[in-house]
Amino acid sequence: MKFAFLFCGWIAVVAVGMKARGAELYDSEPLMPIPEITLEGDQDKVLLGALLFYDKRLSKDNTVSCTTCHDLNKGGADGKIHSHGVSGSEGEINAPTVFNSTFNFRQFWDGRAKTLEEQIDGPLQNPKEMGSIWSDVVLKLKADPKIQQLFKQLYKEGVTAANIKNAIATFERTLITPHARFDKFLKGDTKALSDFEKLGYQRFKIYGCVACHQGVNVGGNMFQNMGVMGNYFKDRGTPLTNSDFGRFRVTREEQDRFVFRVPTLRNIELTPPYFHDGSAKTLEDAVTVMTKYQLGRKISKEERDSIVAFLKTLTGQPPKSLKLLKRVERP
Amino acid sequence: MRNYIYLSIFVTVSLGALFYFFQRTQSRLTVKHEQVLNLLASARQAEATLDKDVLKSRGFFHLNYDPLVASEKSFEDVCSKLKSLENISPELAHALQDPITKYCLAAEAKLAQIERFKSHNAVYRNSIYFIQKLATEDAGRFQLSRRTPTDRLKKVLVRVSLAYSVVSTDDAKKELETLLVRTKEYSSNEDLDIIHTHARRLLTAKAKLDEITSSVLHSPSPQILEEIRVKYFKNYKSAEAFAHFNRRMLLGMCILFLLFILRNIVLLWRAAQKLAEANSDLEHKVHLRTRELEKSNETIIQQQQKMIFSAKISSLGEMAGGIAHEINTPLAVIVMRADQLMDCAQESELHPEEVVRSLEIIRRTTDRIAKIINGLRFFARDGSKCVVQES
Repeated sequence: MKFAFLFCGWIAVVAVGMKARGAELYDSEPLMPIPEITLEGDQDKVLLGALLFYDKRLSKDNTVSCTTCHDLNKGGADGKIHSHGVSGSEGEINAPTVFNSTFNFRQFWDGRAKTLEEQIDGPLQNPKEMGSIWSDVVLKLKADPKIQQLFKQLYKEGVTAANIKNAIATFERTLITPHARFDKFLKGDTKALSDFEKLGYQRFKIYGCVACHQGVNVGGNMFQNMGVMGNYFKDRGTPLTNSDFGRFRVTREEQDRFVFRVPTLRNIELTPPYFHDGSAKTLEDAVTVMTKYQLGRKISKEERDSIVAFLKTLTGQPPKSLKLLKRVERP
Repeated sequence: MRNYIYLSIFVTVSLGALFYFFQRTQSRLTVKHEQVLNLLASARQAEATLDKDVLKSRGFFHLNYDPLVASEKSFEDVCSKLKSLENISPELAHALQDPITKYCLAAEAKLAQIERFKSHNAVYRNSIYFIQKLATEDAGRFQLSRRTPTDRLKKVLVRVSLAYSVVSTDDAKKELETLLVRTKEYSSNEDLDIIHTHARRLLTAKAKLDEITSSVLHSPSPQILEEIRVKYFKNYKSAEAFAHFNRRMLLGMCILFLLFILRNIVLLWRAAQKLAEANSDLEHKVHLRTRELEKSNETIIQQQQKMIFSAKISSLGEMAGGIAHEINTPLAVIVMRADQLMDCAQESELHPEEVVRSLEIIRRTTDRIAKIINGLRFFARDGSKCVVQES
């Protein structure tokens, strides 16, 4: 009798504990699922932004569009260490993904742009990327009656640099990848992840990856020094480039040397190579480097693999607006 | 008269327009005031939330920086809103330009500090986690008393670091520092090396974090905001006083204008009344005069008639004299002829021829008299009543 009573009590305690854990899971997690959006509001602007995103006239010699480096079918990046811009020139920094970039608190690796609109100035005017100037782009687009009509419908001022930027940024804001397996897990579907992946997530949290890679975008809401626990740039073996200085180039302050915006880990599986210099070719390499230089830990192969397995669950569904695009004739 | 009406209509309309315009500026003034007050309040609110979020994120309890980023954004928005004060009121923006630029600079510095806070906080958290984990792990392991010198050093280092992370007094700091110097000599051990690095990170990150946190929490921005507020109120008061003065002036002018119009209306009314009075008076006078005139006319005519009559009478007298004279002469002729005849008859020397001739003369003379009489009668008759003359 006494035994049965104790057993019942134990069951009750376990049940309450599990329930508490389940309820806690979503609220107290440092990572957040991607919120749902509806495209209905600015659908026309989104389509116009998409047209511009694919438009090569934004570049100096009409050879490069946004998609050249941010291929929407390859996770919003191009898979190269450095992207190629106009007339075959090579960029200085690895192209970050355009997906979920709206959740980043700043744009660019050095966080010099506060908004997506501001970000567009960067690649468009960089001589190694699109190499054009706004006045030329506006003139070229104004010559196209179709584009001009679309602009006139949506904007009072017609084709202007600000409106082009707004249209593209509006499109980019729809480039979010919800319904990743991990998001389902966060929303309470405990079966969405395998045990190994859950273990990876636990290690991701315990080892401290989560100290920087957190929030909705699993990163992208803070700056961090590259090489907190060791000199990454010395050990890399290649000479320092301009882009290695990171935020220093924006603020010119010594403490911002080698400081970068923490990149998002969403869809990380799709966007190799990794880091601002594209030095890590695989996720395994990237995790090893990160644990060594950022966390000051040695990591076993098994631990690393579990974290990589977890990272792969962050791959979401392609953005809704891409489906929308398929219905429209692409230029 | 018509001009006068036009003028008064114009004055009324312009007064109304003035009043309407005035009312509108007045309401806009209050709306502006509310807007600016809201802006200042929201600035303070945003900063308070930001500070709260920073404190909340400090340490290792609150891992998700997304709320912090959101409050950073709202704090940033405050600055751009303050800068766009020009849209609300250019003069105000001009007056507050200096403190606003100062505020925005302070805010920018604060945000930059918060960015650094986030990265140092992450490092700090990771090192604490690492050391805590080692401490708990090693607590078990050390109990098995595998005490090599390195292990002991590790244990001490972990404990001291942990103690520093919790207490963080100057003594603990000093102890950790000396310990770090000591462990450096044993750096051949890889594990110890890692612990050493983490302990050092903990030390620097914590110091940095403390510094940044205090600089964030004691940033000059609230004071500058207060300065802006004070300056704004000063400005607002003078503007309000000016507006008040204007209001009074306008009201006074309105009243003056209204009084003027009223006075004019009264004057006009009075003048109209007087005119009407004068009109009726004049008619009466004209009537009287006409009657007088008629009367005097009558008397004049009467007198004239009388004069004509007396003239007639006097001329009648003259005429009677003339007549007497005229008749006397033929009468003397007749008397003489009759006397002659009588003499002749007495002497009987009557000759028929003589008699006839005398009689003829008598006859002719009587005829003449009759003629005169006749003429006289004609003359003596009243001409006005003479039918012959009228016709």
